[in-house]
Amino acid sequence: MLDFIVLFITVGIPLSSALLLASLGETVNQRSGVFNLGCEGVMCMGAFVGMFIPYLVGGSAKVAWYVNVAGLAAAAVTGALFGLLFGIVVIKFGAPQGIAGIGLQLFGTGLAGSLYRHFIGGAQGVAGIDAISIPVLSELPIVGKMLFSCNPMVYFSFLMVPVVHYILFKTPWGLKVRACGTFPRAADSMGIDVSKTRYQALAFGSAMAALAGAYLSVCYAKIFTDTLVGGRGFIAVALVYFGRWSPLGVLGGAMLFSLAQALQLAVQAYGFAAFPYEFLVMLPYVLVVVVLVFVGKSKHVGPAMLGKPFNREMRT
Amino acid sequence: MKNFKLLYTVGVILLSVLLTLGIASLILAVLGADVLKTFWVIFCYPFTTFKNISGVINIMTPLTLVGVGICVAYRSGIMNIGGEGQMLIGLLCAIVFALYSGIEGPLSIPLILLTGMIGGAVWGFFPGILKSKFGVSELLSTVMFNYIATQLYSYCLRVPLLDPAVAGGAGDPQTVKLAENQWLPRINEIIENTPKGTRFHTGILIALVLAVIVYLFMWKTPVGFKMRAAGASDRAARYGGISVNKYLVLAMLVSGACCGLAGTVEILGVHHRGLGNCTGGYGFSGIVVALFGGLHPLGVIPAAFFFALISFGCSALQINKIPVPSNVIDVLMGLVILVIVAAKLIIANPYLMDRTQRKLQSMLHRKEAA
Amino acid sequence: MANPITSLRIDHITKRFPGIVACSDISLSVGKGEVLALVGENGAGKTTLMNILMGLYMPDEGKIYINNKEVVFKSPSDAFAYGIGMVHQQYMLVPNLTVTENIALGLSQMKTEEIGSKTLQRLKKAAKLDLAAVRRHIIAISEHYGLAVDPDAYIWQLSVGEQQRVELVKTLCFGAKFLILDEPTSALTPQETDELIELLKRMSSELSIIFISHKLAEVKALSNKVAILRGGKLVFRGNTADHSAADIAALMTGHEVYLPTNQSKKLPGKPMLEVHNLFVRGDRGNMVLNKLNLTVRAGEIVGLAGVSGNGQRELAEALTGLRVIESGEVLLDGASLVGKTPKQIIAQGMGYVPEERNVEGIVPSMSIRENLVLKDIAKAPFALGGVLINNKKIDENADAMREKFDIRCSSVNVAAGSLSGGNIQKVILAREINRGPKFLIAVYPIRGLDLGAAEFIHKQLLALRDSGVGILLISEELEEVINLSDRIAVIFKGQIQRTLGHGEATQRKLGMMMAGVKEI
Repeated sequence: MLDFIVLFITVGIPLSSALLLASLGETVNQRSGVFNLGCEGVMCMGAFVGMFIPYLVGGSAKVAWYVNVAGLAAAAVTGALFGLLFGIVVIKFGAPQGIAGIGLQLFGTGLAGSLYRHFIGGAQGVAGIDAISIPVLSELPIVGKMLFSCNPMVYFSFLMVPVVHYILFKTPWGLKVRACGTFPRAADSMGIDVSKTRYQALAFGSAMAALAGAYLSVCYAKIFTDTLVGGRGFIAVALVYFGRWSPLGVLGGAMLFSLAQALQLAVQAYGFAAFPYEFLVMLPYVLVVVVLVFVGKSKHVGPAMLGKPFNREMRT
Repeated sequence: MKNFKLLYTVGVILLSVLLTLGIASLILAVLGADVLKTFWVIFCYPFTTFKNISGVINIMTPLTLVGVGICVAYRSGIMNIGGEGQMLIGLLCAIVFALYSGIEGPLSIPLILLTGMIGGAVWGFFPGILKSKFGVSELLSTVMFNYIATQLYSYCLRVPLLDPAVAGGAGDPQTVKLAENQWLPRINEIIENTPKGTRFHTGILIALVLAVIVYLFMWKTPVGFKMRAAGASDRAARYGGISVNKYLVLAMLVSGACCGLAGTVEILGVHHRGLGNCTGGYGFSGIVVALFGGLHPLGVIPAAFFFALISFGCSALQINKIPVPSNVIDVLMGLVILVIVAAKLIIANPYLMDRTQRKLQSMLHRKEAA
Repeated sequence: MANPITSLRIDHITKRFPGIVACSDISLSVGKGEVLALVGENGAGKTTLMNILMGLYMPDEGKIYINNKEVVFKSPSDAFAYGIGMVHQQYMLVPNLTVTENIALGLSQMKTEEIGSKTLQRLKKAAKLDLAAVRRHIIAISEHYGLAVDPDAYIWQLSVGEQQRVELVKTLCFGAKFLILDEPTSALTPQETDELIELLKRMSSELSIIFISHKLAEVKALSNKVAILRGGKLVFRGNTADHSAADIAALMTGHEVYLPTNQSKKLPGKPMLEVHNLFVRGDRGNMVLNKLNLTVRAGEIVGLAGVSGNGQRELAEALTGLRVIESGEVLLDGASLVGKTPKQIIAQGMGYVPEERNVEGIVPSMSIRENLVLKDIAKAPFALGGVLINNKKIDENADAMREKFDIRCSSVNVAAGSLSGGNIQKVILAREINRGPKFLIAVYPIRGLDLGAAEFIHKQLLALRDSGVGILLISEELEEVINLSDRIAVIFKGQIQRTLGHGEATQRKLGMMMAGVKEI
């Protein structure tokens, strides 16, 4: 039984990283008042760009660490650009964000898939970034393997939880972001450029989403496929609601969801074949719906003007 | 002034079309395609043979059905992106009914279609009730229900409904074929002198009739009126004695039923059995169609035709030796959505129009002065 | 801000919005230590002009001079840097941030090089990380001006009066030496208003103030100069002391004003609406109506006077089924309304002219003709057998209503949301009256309307009363309440303070009672 638990947590932690990065990014987006349902598309683009750079340099062979990092950085930049593109549509022109998000999702997933087939094709992977074992700590029984033998990006994603928390709640920029999401007119009256702040938040959030995608292709699967991201972008958006727009809440959501997923993998690995695995795959999604039903609906926590475009001259 | 508004609107539309074509060309060029030839294949090749046209119309059929369903939901103030799931559950119910009810013959077809609609409606009901009772955003719940439906369907395909012929890993999971008299008739069985050998089925007639019925329902009945009022302004509707929550659930039922019907028509018309990927992503592309059709059931018909056209064209790229992956259809659709939503808002923004007008005027004045 | 502002001059400012010229060629000036009252009706262009002064809007034409030097404000932070601060009519405070965070937010936006004072420069740096320094500054300012605020409270926890103090402190914390106040008394009780005016008088020894208002008593009490806007144009400029309130009123409206008054001697009939011991919760979950009792008879207008936020909105919503009744009894013509849906209550004969006419009274994107049948679409004659809409009857109805209620529109097919406020209110009133209600609740029926429309609405309400309908008129305009009502009930903290007869009520008496004084 202990083995089973260790296995399932060891599988769960790497699974959670992509969700965590993307949801943290989306948290910042939403705190500024922009709802990016196109997260999935941005993640796909990140996944493609992230692996494309190391692939260009070394194909499927091992490449120097900085090439992989360059891939991640390129992914983040691509993500930020996609965020700005989305910003033009929803911030500048004030288009309905739900629909525009679907557009971005289709555009991103389609483009990433097309580019992959054109420039890489087949089922070619990259060597990517391997897990590293932290000396001494990884020798510890049980927790060593679970917590201290992970991919560097996993550590990075967990590190981002306090970082994003600090950014949102302890910096002037975070203050601005929160003001723009709750009462943009007030922010505007104090000289804050609401659109600019939202663009910045969107660029940051989308860069995070793209990093999440790149994590999947460079660190986790080490290959790109059309289904690599597999709906994680949508889950990430749901987790933001789940976590009530707080980085810690998002962490809880991402862990819960990933562990539920890992449970399914672990059960399969242990060969309980008689149990239809589809129902286990379904479990995390059901869980999200159930939790969305029960999360508190307090008015004063989240960004009240989420999804509402701001235009100084439009008086509503 | 009035003239300028027209000029402005036409100008924005023209610019949007040019922008879309420009970006699309750029992407195609990056993908190494001959841009002009690609556009020819996408827009003209489908018209070259009757077989191609019938292929387009077969794609148009589910797109129309889903698009109409999305319109109903959207007009009632709920954004249904669960079309995929509703299609799957609808067609799953229809297959089960077709295989196990023991009813066969032409009379069974309406019953199977009805079962499919009920299945889709049930799957639409859940997000509807979650939103009206618990305030769960439908944007999230419908997506979750898509995943749940996919898993349910793939389980049914793999275990209880598995075709014995592919059991034991001989191929992709699928169900047995439906009885031939449960299939939707082909067009050439109904209209004489149409070429044979195509899969052109009569589902398109169902789609067109449904679009008209939904139009009449939404615009000519009090219930439809109330749904539209609730969608346009939930607060005013509530103050006007309209139970917004009730109509929201009703809208999801109708919307889900349309999507369920779309799935069922695909099965009865094209596949004749349950397969791994038989929704063809129409649950998503139906959203684009609905938007493109101005969220009006009758506008959906030409919009569905247009998207069926480019969809067919994109899938025909490989046969025409254009080295572009078929994913390009998603890129085009995404692009079209982004441009449409932005263009719509630009047209509707009086401030922007005013400013453009003044800028143009001052430019003209300067020219005259020079 | 190198030098303190000794003079501020607005020179030939014009600002256009689609379809209207909000400000047309306006010139004004304010000197040191002066209090300028900017007076005008709703829509006269006062707020737009001040938003230009704050850098929120860019003027299409014209210039702003400070100390005879031209300045261009592109953002409010530019205006702050010159020591200009504004308290907006709608408070610009972010509800889920604390008082300190709200103020730090603005400070962090200020441009260091343009800040003259050393303290502010230090604060600007502090706002980056050190909320404690901002907090100390807030306390210092609030002590200096005698404005008590709790720097650690979240805005959503504060009352309207407290929020206004926070707004003032915020503006002063930004180093404002030139204050713009947009209708500062609109949400205050008469007593709070008096206190504010005292405070502003004291402050005017150190600051210059522009004060937007249409309440002439305040203008007389506080200002030494007055400027009157009408329809986007400056129509008058002069010393306050030289002109009477009546003169100013006439200039403000452009004509002498005669709103109709209730002169009917007809005796009211049986009780139409009876409210017994009503308890209702507000949005924050606290009890907003505490054992409220009220009776309105047939053929009677009862005015409900009170400072907004004392339960008026909740009462109207509870009576129309839009808000849950915790306990108590409500009878309409003898039949209970408790636990009924809005639809059922409407069917029982309840009419409603809601507070926010644009979003509650009409569906803005639907046409006028559709809005006119919003409540009756499923009934004959508008629906054949309840299943098919009869467009012919709807058109006939629309044409008749347009004629009878003087709805000015190019066609009844245009979206109702594109109409002016007065015409929207006429559409709502037409729908409600045409349904033949037993009872009508009218909430702020003429707020923001021009006088012509207001007069029309008032006449319709009086005619409806004479036809035997009971009317509950909810308003914060005392003049309106006194003019129209047969009896006036004063609401305070969710209870009816007292009910006065038509002859008994004076503005002064009502004002006291609205502030919570029971016996006078």
